[in-house]
Amino acid sequence: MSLKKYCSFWIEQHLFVIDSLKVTSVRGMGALTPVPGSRQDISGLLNIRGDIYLVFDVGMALLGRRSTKHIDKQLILLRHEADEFLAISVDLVGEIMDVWEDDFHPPGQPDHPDDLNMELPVLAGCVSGYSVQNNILVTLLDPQKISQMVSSEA
Amino acid sequence: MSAQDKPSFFHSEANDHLVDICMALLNLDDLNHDRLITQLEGVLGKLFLIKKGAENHSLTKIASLVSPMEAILKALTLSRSVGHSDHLDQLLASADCLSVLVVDHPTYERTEINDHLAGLQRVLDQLESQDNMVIEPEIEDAYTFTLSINLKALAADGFELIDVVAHIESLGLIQAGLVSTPTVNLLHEGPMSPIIWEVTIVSGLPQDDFCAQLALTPFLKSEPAQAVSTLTRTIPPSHVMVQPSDPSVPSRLSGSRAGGLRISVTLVDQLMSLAGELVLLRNQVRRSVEAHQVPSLQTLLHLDGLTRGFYDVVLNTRLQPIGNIFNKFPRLVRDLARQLDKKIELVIEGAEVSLDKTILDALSDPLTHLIRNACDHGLETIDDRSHNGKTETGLIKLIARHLGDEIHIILEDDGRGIDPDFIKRKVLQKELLTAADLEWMDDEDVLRLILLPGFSTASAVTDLSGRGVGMDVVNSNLESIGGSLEITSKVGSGTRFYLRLPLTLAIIQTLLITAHNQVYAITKRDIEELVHLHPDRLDAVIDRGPHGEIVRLRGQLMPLVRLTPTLERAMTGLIEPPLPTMIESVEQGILAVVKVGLRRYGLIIDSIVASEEVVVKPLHTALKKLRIYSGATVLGDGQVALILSADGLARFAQISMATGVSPAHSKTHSFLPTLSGLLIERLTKQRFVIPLDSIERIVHTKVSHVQEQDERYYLTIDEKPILVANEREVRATIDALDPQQQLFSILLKSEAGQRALLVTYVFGVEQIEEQQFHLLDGMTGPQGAILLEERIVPIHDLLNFPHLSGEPFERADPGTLERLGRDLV
Repeated sequence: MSLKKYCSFWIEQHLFVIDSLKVTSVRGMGALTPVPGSRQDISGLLNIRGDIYLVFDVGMALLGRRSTKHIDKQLILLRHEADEFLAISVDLVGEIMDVWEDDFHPPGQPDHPDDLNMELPVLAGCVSGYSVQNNILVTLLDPQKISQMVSSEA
Repeated sequence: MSAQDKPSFFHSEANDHLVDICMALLNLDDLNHDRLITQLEGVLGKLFLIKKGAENHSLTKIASLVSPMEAILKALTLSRSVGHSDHLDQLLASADCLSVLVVDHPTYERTEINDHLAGLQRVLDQLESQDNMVIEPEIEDAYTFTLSINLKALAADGFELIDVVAHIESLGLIQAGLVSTPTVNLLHEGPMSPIIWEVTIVSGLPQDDFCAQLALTPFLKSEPAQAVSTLTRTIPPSHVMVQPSDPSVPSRLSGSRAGGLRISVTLVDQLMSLAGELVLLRNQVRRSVEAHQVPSLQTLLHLDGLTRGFYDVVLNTRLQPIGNIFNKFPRLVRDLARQLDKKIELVIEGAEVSLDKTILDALSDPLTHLIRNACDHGLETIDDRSHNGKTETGLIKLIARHLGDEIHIILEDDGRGIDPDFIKRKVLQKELLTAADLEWMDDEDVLRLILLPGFSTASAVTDLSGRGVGMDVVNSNLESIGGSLEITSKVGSGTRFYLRLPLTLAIIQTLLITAHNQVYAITKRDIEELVHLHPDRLDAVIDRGPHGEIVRLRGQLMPLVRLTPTLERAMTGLIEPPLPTMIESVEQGILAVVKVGLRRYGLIIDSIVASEEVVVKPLHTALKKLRIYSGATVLGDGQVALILSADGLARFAQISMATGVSPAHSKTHSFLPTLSGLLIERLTKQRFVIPLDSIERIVHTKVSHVQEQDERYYLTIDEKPILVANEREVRATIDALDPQQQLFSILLKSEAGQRALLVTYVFGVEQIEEQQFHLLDGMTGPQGAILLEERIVPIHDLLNFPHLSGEPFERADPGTLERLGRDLV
């Protein structure tokens, strides 16, 4: 098992990480174009260097409410596939964390924290694993599954 | 990777040849004797090129299938007949198999050709057994030689190509030829590669005699080793054959020209030239910026012209003739007619019309389905037609027209038509809708019910159609490429499918509008006209109908959609449309008449921001199910704007649209006998009507704004120079006009770039009924005239002026107008 770099971010008191290789960049929020008729967790569209990104509000999907004002949020741009550009909006982008791959326990393992799974019903399908780092529970999200969830539940 | 795994130029070429071969074989029946021989020889030549290419790529299956086909065609050439129709079927089936081998690279190895070889052999046997068919002696007496001649070496020795050809011809009949210039690595050798002419000659001379004759030719005497690199006698074609083709299986010969996009060298040259100009302009702008100067307006105009030029050329690289897919339909119709035991004539018009390759590729399946339906359901059997007093042969017309930035495709048949009552019964029977839903539907709406998923009127499922899937897929496929489908039908007379498609999906002309405090784009081709609403206006009134608001515009009723409330409803997740309430006061509203196929609805928008060309970006999958939007774009200020879908908006608003006046209703002439026209006063004070469909928009201007440059007149609109179309009229009158006089500039839709008509006054829109309209046949100027307030007013068909020459008004024949005037009065 190898030591991998993960991009960490916060939604209220929850700490999440995603594989840093699946992230193209991190930036502040811009002026979004709302999309009337779309789901509530789709914040809108944003032009970033000529590409139109769909901004997905992870907090809204997680908690069912906007945890922070739009403008205070930060964006994590995910590595795109073909013409599908997806950015997730989070409360705060954290540090790049070095974590051993086998530190993450996949969901369904006997020692995985069921209570957290209960707390994150929406994102449960996007969780690849859990780990405790410096006494903080870290949830590993799979960007591919986030992307699928955004597309499939539209 | 083997040769067959990777598409190459050969594959693309071979596919093109196969399309041509198929077309040529289908036309054999209609040809006279001389043309028949020419056609057969042409097919033989193309088959030869495919065979040689296949041999070069080690595609032995292709080569071995071509050989017996060649043998049959040679036999037909010698017998000077088209053979039995079964023979043609077998040749076509073999061509289909060849197409699979050429196009479907992954299935090359798995594709079996033995059945085809056996079938072809049977045809050859049949041909040989015919009394009047003498194949063997002719073939045995004729020898086929292939020469590879190094033209470069011959030219170096001072021989003229024409002499070389003449000498070769003296040896026998040149059957085919291919000039090739082998690729060289310029790092290792200079550009001195040989130019090889590979020529096939059919000669009565045996090989030794042929070689002896060759040796006598002066160019071979000088440098025979260099000039002729190979001399071989081809193996006499083995006699082979095919099984009868299955008409229910569609031809695999797709005209889509697999394996990429072929671009003419002229277009590449134009791109290079534009790129060169762009570099110069960049240097110019850089110098200005370095000198702290603002680039001049002229520079911006130059940049605008270059951008337009680039767009046009790049668009042209993507445009392909629609004939590429139309060409496969004669075969389809022929096969279906035989299977259904009907007589069907297919008339194709406008095969030369071009459109974007992406759209072309997506159009093939929907059109195939519509034609199958027309043959199977649309046209009656021979007995039924005779019983109904119709000709035995049913007619299917497939017409493509280029109108502005749209392509219109009309598919019509003279069959039994669609009975709306029958559709209603079927819909109720299948419980797709309720009787209450059907109550308020007009016939147009009822006909559209055949687009519902699961709808089928066929009493029995056949091999061809009747499964109830298809028309909804046809419709959704067309919508996915920004097209629309409308259906009109008359029981007993026939059905017409009217397809509207954008010319390209990449860059579109839009109107930027505001609603819900956001900027949205709406495609200009979806907007028929814009009307300012105000309380005093009597010809545009908003009223309440049984199912919501309606607008009455010049006597025509259409449903109304208010954009901002509709988007607000979408924002809050409400699906149901609001109940009709008090009519809102519309003091400053703008009404856009939006067209969806043949139907219209009114759209109230808050304001218009600009008219802009935008680059269309696809929506994320998560938003594609929202049918209100067809795409998104990035505006000049970096903001994202959603592009509204005219059809999607109407569906979301749940309105029922009425059919308006449309080109589809034209019956007698390419011009529109029933139309909305703008009544204007020319600079010469005469009145004229211009069809609304020809007009992009109207702009206020002044006499002083007209600028003369190189004897042509220009106006600057949206910071772009626009050429004045009626320049002769302007030249004759402009000096007498007050520089401050207000004029109207009518921007016309034209393929040849934007043009403006300068007029002194715009009276308004006139609805012209068919009976008011009188065609002027054989004129290139006005296409007709009407009587308005006891005055003869000519009408111009500006849509059919693809090359506006600058004086469209000047060609009217006064004599004809006078005659017409007498007739009218």
